[in-house]
Amino acid sequence: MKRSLLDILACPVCKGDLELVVYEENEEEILEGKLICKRCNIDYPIEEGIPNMLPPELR
Amino acid sequence: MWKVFEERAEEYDRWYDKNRDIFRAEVNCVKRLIKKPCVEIGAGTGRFALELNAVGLDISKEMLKIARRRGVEVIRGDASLLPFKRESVECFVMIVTLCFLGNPQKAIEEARVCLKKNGSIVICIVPADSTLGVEYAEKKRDSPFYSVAHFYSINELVKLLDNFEITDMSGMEIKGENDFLCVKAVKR
Repeated sequence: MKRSLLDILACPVCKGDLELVVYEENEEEILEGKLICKRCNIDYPIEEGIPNMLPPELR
Repeated sequence: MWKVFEERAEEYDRWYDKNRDIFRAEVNCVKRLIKKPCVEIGAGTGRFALELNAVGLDISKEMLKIARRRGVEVIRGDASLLPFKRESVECFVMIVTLCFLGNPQKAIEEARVCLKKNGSIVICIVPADSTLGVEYAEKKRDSPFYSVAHFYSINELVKLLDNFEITDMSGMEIKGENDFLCVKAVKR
């Protein structure tokens, strides 16, 4: 996931801003990490470069 | 409904290798309506997203893994709960995706919420009343993919886009006229 995606990404439930936590990143993109919606108290994991933006009940 | 794609991602993707000429013509048909960078909803294995230089969103992780290997920027998400900021996206495209959605009305409303003012959504369907649409309906029982699909007529699609202004259409013949039809609608 490229950092530029953060310009449009939001929590799918409330459409609010997300906080990014990076575990692993290379020159091009974030490989492992998470996006946190503080309002909904939901973590959206980034795994193998793919942000999983499904609410927990749909994962 | 999407589980079939999760289990049969490679099988689904092989259609594009077997039908290269149709795929190429479909890409050109879509490109006629797209001028800006897009987000593709239901990007699957990323065949169109790669050609359109689009970001690909899909609910199936296995399909997205293939898309990512192709070099497509991907997001796992649900069309009915789009993970985008309000009024942030210039353009959405959905290519033969509507027929696989449980709640197409909700998906189109979500896209409207996330589109910028004067942003557009391009929806491509195999119309239920086209030659190919009738053939697909007949083959439903034999195909793991078609058996979960609900094909829409062009009139039904126009009705779903009630809150948009339809500005353009682009169609192509596969077995009959307008077997693959794209509608461009703008958020005012």
